[in-house]
Amino acid sequence: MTGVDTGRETSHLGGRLITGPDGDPRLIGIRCLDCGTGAFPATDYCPGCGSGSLEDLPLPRAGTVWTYTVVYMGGYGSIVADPPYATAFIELDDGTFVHAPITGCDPESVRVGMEVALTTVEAKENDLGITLTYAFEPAVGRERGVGS
Amino acid sequence: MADLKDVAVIGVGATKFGENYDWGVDDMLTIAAFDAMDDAGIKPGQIEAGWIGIQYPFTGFSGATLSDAIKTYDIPITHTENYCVSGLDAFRNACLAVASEQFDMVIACGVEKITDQTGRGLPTSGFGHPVQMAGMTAPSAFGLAFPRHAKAFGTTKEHLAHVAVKNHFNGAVNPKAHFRREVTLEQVMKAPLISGPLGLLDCCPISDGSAAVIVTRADIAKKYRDDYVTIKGMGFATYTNLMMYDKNFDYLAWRPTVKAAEKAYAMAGITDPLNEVDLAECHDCFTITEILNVEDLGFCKKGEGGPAMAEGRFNIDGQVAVNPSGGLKCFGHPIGATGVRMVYEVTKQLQGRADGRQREGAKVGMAHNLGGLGGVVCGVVILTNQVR
Ligand SMILES: [Zn+2]
Repeated sequence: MTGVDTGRETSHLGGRLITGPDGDPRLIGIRCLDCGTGAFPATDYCPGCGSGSLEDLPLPRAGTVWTYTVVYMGGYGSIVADPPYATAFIELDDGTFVHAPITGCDPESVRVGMEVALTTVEAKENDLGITLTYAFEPAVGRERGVGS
Repeated sequence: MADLKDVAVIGVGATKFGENYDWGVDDMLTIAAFDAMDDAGIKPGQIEAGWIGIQYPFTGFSGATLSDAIKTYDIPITHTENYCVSGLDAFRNACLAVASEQFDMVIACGVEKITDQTGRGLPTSGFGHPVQMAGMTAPSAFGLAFPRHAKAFGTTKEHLAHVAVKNHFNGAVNPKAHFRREVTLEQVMKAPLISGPLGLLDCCPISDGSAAVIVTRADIAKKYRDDYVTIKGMGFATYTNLMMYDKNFDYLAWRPTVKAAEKAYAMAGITDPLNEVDLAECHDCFTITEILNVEDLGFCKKGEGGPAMAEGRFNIDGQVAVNPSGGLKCFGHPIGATGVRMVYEVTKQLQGRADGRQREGAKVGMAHNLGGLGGVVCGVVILTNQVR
């Protein structure tokens, strides 16, 4: 596996985005060895109980849109797209929540319950030091990578 | 031994809210603070301690921002920062100090000067997770609540629009409001989208402004005026910047509003808020925010906020007058000043001095102040004009 850190020096800033042997992107969160909490972005201490005993948690690539909004006035700017763009809470197939942009479709077509899968996006110029980042795009069936 | 219910407000002051390009931070604080001291009938030398609510570093640092404005030195002054609740938290600390009998006469102020800043919308860099927040705006964080509420309860964009129409109707007659005009349902519905479904007229403005209140004990208040108001209930609660880690987060309620209200109602002995609260200055940074808040405050059942707005239940002559001042939506929202401005309005209402926007016969009023993207911090203060 080749790792691409999307954050600064520490994993808790950007979460971790890796490319698996099949070329598919995967997000790596954490699972707490004490209380079982799974979370993304990865943290150094469990967001549930504060424990430092954590293991890597490779997250499923697929999920559904849990809620979203379409940003028409961008304020201080997305690192993924110019307005209008959709930003969403995605509920992954294992129940983990990821807050991420939706790409690869008309932002106004995004709906609650829409099936999506992880993708990588070249980041726009930003002061976070991020060159490659993650988003979700519409996907159904095998494309969603269910079971991978 | 005094307690919080012995704490009284004897003077309130505020600047006009809006694009105050001709005033600096010191100017606005001076106007608001001297307005409050004049209202109370006191002089700067009587102030024993102060609290100053400011959210943004570009507005000011430390208590010295206030000492210079009121030309009062050598007293303790504390800067409070707690997102949009910075001002109401200044008031809370002032009340606790008086209740403790450490001080007899104190001032709580808030100020923010934002319109000079470059960029569009409220500066949000540094709020929450740096990567996850990239591309998020204040309207986005609250706009994310809408699809959940719509799915669960059938709330519509038109329901949201009724909040804006109501608050502009109330604020149009308020001489210190940022916007002194009404808006129609059609104007709100057709306004350009900011973060769907929130349009321009679903969003409160970026404003400059300052507010101040003078706080003392009730036994001292009697020497200054007969119509002082006192604390009946108070509750504050803090949740999280990182909702995505909370498996129970449902975006259907503002959890800190629920928790702060529980505490304030318990202290006040209020079990039926709909019938025991006459008016509420309720945090309406965005129309969807007020819909969830009126539910969380127990003014209607969860999910009924939208239809209740459409039915006029929260109009100035409704079951509870919600945002008789015009709220953040119409009066404006200079962040650090807002919570103190709410106490200003509730006090005026309870004194029968809210010209043109008076809730008739008001006996119990609430200041409800929510902060943080997605509902992170909340303060609820209940005031009354009834003798304890
Ligand atoms: Zn844990």
